[in-house]
Amino acid sequence: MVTGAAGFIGFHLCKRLLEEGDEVVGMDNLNDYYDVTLKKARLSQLESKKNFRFIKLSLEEKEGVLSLFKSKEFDVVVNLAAQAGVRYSLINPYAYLDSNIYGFLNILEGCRHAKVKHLVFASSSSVYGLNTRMPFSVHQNVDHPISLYGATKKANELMAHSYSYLFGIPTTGLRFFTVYGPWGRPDMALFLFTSAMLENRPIDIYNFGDMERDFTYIDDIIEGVIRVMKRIPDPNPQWSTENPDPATSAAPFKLYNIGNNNPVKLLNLIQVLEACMEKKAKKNFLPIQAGDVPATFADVENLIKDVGFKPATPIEEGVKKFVSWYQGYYRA
Amino acid sequence: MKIMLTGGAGFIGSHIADVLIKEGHQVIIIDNLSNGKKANTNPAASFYHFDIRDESLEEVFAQEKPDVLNHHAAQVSVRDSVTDPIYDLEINIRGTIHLLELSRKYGVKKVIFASSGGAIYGEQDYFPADEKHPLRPLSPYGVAKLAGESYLYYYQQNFDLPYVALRYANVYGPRQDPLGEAGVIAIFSRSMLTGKQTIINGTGEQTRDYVYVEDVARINVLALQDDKEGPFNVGTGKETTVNYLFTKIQSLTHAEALEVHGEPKKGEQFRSVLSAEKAKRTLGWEPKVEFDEGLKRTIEFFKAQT
Repeated sequence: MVTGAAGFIGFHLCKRLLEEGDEVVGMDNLNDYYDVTLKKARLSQLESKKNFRFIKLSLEEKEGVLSLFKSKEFDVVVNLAAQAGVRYSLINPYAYLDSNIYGFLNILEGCRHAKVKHLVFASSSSVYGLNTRMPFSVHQNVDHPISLYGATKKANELMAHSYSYLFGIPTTGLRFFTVYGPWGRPDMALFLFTSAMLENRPIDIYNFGDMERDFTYIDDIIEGVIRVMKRIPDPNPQWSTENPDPATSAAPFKLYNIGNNNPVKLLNLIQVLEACMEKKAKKNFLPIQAGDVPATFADVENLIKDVGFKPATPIEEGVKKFVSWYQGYYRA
Repeated sequence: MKIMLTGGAGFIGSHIADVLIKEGHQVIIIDNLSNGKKANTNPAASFYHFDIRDESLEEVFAQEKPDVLNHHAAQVSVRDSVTDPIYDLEINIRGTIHLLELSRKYGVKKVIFASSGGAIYGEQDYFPADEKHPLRPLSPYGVAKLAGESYLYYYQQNFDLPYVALRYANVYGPRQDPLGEAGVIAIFSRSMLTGKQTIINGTGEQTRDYVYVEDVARINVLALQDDKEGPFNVGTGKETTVNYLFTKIQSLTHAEALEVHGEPKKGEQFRSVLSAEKAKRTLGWEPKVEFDEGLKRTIEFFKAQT
């Protein structure tokens, strides 16, 4: 089961799983946080596949979620449904509690009673909050989030750990770093920049351009998720209660960063985008937005060690693929 | 006024930003943080992490349309300019011209430029030097600063872009980087506070004119006045020997340092002292912080740091 199946990452994951011959149940509430047409367009590509079943359902719908778990035995559950977005968490904080906390609890309860073999859930680089020691490592403490979004993702990690410990649910949390690519989310920088540039509107550049992101291409994310899904975590025998490592546990629980391990300056991203579009951006420099961190950079040592993979798509290649998708999709 | 301040995260620039903001000006800082520190930047300023040679600086000019350019970003080391004169030229000449071209294009009304009285006069013919003293720089750094002034003159004559060039004596005070080689006061204070031996280059009888950084920041506000243009010395007219400095800092830090003399530095000027009569007459500026007082405040700052 993949929740958030009509979302950016969920859609790509379902597609890849179906290509590999897996049977996939996709869940999504198709809410209007962003353009529902885009979600439906993603979904329509999945619905044509024979091993795919779509269920329109919100994480928050407790009865629905629990009965879904009863009606079908899932080997692996991948929870990608969430209220996403850092900035929106200052505007509508309750949506984050509803989806990411209450909704996530329904998934945990479902897994608890259904004897799921592996729960994989989406966390975020935003859990690193005020940390500035680079690269961000899963072995660091992440107790200082600066957005409610980051706080709910950190809470997911804690909730998942407690269920993993109490009920022996093998669980893996993945901290995604600024995922981009075809079929991406319209509230993300690359999408916003591309559409603004095509319409000759100025692009908003926060922190006067002094931002760095570990932009990670969607295909790399999917490869990482697939590999992680197959690697069911065991308790870490070296784990010490005296000196607890945040990334592993005495429970079958693990956390990984999935990032490109190569931070890109925002102004460089724009240069790459300008080169792809053969067009100059009009820039509107602005102060940093509340909740945003100035830089992210993923340490991916553990991912390499455990699943033998590290995202590596260069930004030039990824942006080119995004732009050509964007132009094709919005021209059609 | 809206003032674009390059080098606003650096030692002198950060003090200028503080006083400009206190006076109610809007400050836009451009700094690549090569020497400057983000922590020194006044939070009320807009901070652009840009190099002055960066092409996209044009977009910052286009958006912000500053009234005044205050240019303090620089390669600041005389010794590094000797080792790598081309790098010095890149920053101090090419970077300056880039800013002046953009200032002209985007309607900047005045430019204030950090020049160097210590470096552009060379070995002095008379003491203290006034602005009419011959200009015979003895380092690539001095040559580049003088070139900066010549370009300013060119823009003033040809494009009616007024300028003030502030020819600084040896500026000292809090936030000076003791790890660099520019500030003997910062270096002595830091080593004595941490119990490290310091070396006096040569006899120690060489003199400098030490001017406190807050006085320097203040002249940057006075330089904004209408119809005040041209070069101004910024110094105290008083000479201080390195040996005096050594003894004074020793007594203020209660350090038990030995007075060790090393080889004299090649190409180093022996005496340097500036007359700031013109700044007093024209801008109404004179230094307010006495040397002993400034030294005390500087040492307090480094004490809090260590």
